[in-house]
Amino acid sequence: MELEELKSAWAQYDKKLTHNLKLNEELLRKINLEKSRKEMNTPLTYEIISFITGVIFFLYITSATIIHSNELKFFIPGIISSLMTIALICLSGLKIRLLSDIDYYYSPIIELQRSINLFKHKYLKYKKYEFYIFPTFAISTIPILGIALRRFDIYEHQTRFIIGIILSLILGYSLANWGYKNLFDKKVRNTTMFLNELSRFEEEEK
Amino acid sequence: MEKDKFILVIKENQNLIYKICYSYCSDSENRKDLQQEILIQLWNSFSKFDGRAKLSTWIYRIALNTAITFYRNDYKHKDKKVTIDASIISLSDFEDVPELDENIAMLYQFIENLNEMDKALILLYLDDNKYKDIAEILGISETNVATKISRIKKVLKEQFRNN
Repeated sequence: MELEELKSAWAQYDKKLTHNLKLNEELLRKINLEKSRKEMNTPLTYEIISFITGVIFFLYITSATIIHSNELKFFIPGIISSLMTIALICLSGLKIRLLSDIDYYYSPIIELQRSINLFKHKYLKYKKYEFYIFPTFAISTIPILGIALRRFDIYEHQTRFIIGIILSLILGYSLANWGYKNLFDKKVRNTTMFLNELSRFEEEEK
Repeated sequence: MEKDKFILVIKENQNLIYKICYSYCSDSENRKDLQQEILIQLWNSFSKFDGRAKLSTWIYRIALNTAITFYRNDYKHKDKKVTIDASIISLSDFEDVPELDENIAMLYQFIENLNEMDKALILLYLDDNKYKDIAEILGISETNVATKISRIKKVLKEQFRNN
């Protein structure tokens, strides 16, 4: 059967649907549509909150580092923490930019799907950096946070601190590695495949 | 008031939404979820519709985009925003509705085997959209639309012959 013939069968089917489809208005009204409208920007809201929290944390950690700048044992971890916080803030900022650039309402399907999947792809990559930054970030933050928040000098408990560092590095990186492979690797591959599919679809066929 | 307008728009375009859901989800449970997801996305963007595009173009874009995203994500593991466990758009009375025409059933089967983008393309074609409109909705050139449709036609012909 030719597609043209099927097209007329499809038109007949469409007519049947017109007669037989029923919109359950009551049910549609029951859905809390207003709430769903508010929920729409959840990922963007989440990233904005992360960004603001990051900036506040950066300001706090930097001022604590400046206050303890005469003691190298606090100054160096403070600087490392500040730099890592900047990196995390930048990642958040990049995600916000990617999300805000997506035009959900008027983009053609290819363009929107590409934007969504590029965002997903980058988001998953950034998650990888975040996963790997975290153990070092935790180690470098503890001394400066300890002294700034509670006047607690971690270096006075060297054995505990060294055990903490070793555990953080071994467990942290093994978990980060395992977590990323199991939670995100497959998703990254799927997204890359779909992005390639989109490019192929967009290419002119001969 | 806005809700009433929205319901009217949905009423006028329920065939389109139904066919998209049927093409992207063979499972009836997922179909209900997709239907609700499409309605929510349409509602969320309803206030942003400013007439720049035709209403049908706008509905096709949002519904197809939602269907493609839904199809690609594993929604079973996600928290559902909507908890209503029923179809909002459904056949009025199953007793009175004749079963799917054999050709339409085969056509749905054929569509089911296509990839996400080809599904969108063939649905737009079957709904008698012009190549220009299909190109605008999908974001590819008119020539590309024509070539792809002719390729799908060939595959379809082959499949119908084999069946």
